[in-house]
Amino acid sequence: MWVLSRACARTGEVPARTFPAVADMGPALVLGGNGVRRGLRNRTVILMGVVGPLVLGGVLALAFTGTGPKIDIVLVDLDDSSVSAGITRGLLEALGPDAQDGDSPVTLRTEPGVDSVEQARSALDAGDVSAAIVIPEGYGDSVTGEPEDLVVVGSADNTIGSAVAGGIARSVTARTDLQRSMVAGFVSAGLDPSGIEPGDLQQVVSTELTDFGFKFDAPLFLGPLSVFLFLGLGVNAKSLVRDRSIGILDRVRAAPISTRDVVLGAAITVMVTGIVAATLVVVLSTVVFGASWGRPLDVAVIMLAFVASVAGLLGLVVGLARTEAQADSWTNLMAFGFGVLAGSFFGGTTLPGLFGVIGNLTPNGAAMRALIEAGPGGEGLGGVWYLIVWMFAIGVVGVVVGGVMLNRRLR
Amino acid sequence: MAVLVADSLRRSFGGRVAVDGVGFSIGPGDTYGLLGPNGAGKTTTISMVCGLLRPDGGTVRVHDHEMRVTRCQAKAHLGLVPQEVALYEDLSGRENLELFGRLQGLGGRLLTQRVDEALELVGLVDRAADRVVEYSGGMKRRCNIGAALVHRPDLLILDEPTVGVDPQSRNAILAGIEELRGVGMAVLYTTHYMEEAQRLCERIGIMDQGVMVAEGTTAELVSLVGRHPVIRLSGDGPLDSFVKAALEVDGVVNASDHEGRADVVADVSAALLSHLLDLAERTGVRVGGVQVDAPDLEDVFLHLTGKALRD
Repeated sequence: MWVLSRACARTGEVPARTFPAVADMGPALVLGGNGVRRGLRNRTVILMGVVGPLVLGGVLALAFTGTGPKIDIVLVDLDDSSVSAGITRGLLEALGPDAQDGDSPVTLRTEPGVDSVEQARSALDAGDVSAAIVIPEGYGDSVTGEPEDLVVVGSADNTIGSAVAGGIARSVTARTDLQRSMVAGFVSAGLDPSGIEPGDLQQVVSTELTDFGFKFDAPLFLGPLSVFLFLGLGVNAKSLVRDRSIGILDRVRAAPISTRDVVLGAAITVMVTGIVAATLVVVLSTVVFGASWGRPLDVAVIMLAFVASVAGLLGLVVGLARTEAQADSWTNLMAFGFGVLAGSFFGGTTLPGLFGVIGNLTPNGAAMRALIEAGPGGEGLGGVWYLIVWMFAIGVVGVVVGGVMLNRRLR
Repeated sequence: MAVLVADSLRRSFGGRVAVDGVGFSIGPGDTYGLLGPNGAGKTTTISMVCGLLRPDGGTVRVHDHEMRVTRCQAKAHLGLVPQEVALYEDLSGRENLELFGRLQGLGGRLLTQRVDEALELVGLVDRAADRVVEYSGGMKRRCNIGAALVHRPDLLILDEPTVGVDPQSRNAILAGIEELRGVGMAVLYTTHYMEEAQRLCERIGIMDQGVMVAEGTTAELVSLVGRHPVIRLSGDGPLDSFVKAALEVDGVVNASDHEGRADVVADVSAALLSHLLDLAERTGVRVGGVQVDAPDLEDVFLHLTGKALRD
């Protein structure tokens, strides 16, 4: 039996109610805060937002960066010409002094005891080097005659090292076509071809290493972070669908609030958890794995825009999904589809052609590109403003469209 | 002034008409029952009353605020208890009530005070800090009601709150609702349990296939059946003599005997029953049992729709 207290009896007191105006964020903030609290309590925020990205990013970092196995490439000059000397010097200088003393994850060096293909193979078999790039005898003559390729000595036991060496060799060979004419010009003018500036080669090596994800390691963590944020988005979307099926959403909507507040509240949950997760991932990946993300302000703005776009996609999923299974399907599609398109699983390597363009339009692709272009040596936020606007636009449009769709369905 | 006036509500889903022309009003302190079988349109009706569904036609006014026009003001006066336990199970009872209180615009000390009151009202003060998932079924149901009371609504809307509840908890819930009526709260109660409607509601609307087939007090509705109660008296002895004597009693409409049982059609009263028992003794009938077969809402529904309430 219930007991009515005196306080429960009608006193004529006017309840302290507020009626939300158009710009009143109160109900959405209440719902968003509730979502964050529940996420913290059932640990989905920590697991999906922090632990998952850090573990997966950490694995990628260990595999590809300085804390993992290093790639040691030896240059063997069998030509001993002024041309080969120029190429060797150019490649060695391209990676800077760290690349020759073992401090870099990729080492490119010459080894006095390795002067032939056989010796390179022996060193490779002994595990002393990861791969070798051999400049064959007569390569110098090829600049004025028939083209000749660099030789890569690799091993199936070290596919990454072989791939990196092969990439550098192919690019150098391709560049040699251009340089051939430059060197020919030097020779015909009676000048020493070893005076060729290594700038082109520096670009060759930098491009190759960036393509393999070595130079800029933030994508190693942004990729997993984006995948897990999408999966976390799914958790929130499913929660809303479940709320609808068991009547909680009816109870919420019976309060003086609008459906817009419901979607906005869920988006706020994703925003808050996403910002916390991104901050932790950036800080911890920098401290623990030495990841370089770029200038803090640039990173903060880009990550905010990225999280906003993910929150917007939540709105779309909520609007589209009629069942928990549908919410799951939509978010898995986004997490893995966008992940593949944007190269989230491959350290930021985008797909070629049209798929690459589409990948750059995805939230994680746009964020990845913004981080790379604004990152170390980049143009800063000024050069990527359109990507930031794009991500925020996804966020706003997603919430608005999702709210309209949900409202139509519910009413 | 009526707390709720629903007028000519109509709603279709696709080509199917779910509610057609339903209307009723509830005054302060009144309990109004919507009685009907599953699929009758009760939940659709209260969804329109709560502003969850937009009516295709008709209006809902809560304290003179029309739901379609001043929705927030209208909603601020009502509390909804959905049919399911609509609570976050990973939050405590107190946290749930605080959440729904905040959504009603409550905050600070007033929120704390109102939550305390609601918890006391539903008898969950001792378990307020426990997560809802740890509650028994009956406790969850009570907390479900408490969440709708935290902002002291003028109109409490309960959608079949006793479905799947054990008899003890059901009785506690019904007794609690009776107490709310005592403090002036208007209650809209949907059910397909005839006994609950009869016990709680001053007025009852009977719905079937989206239409309000009858509306009134229990007595008014029962009168629609058009038959008097039947007093069935079983026993040994000269029942034919008893029947002849009973036909002479004031208030008796008809009487007959059938295979060891006398059926007396009359408006039942304690005095009449006493008189008939005296009469049986005087005519030499040893009474084995007495049963009163009075028409109830089940009969009303059968009479109006040609089918049983729980078909």
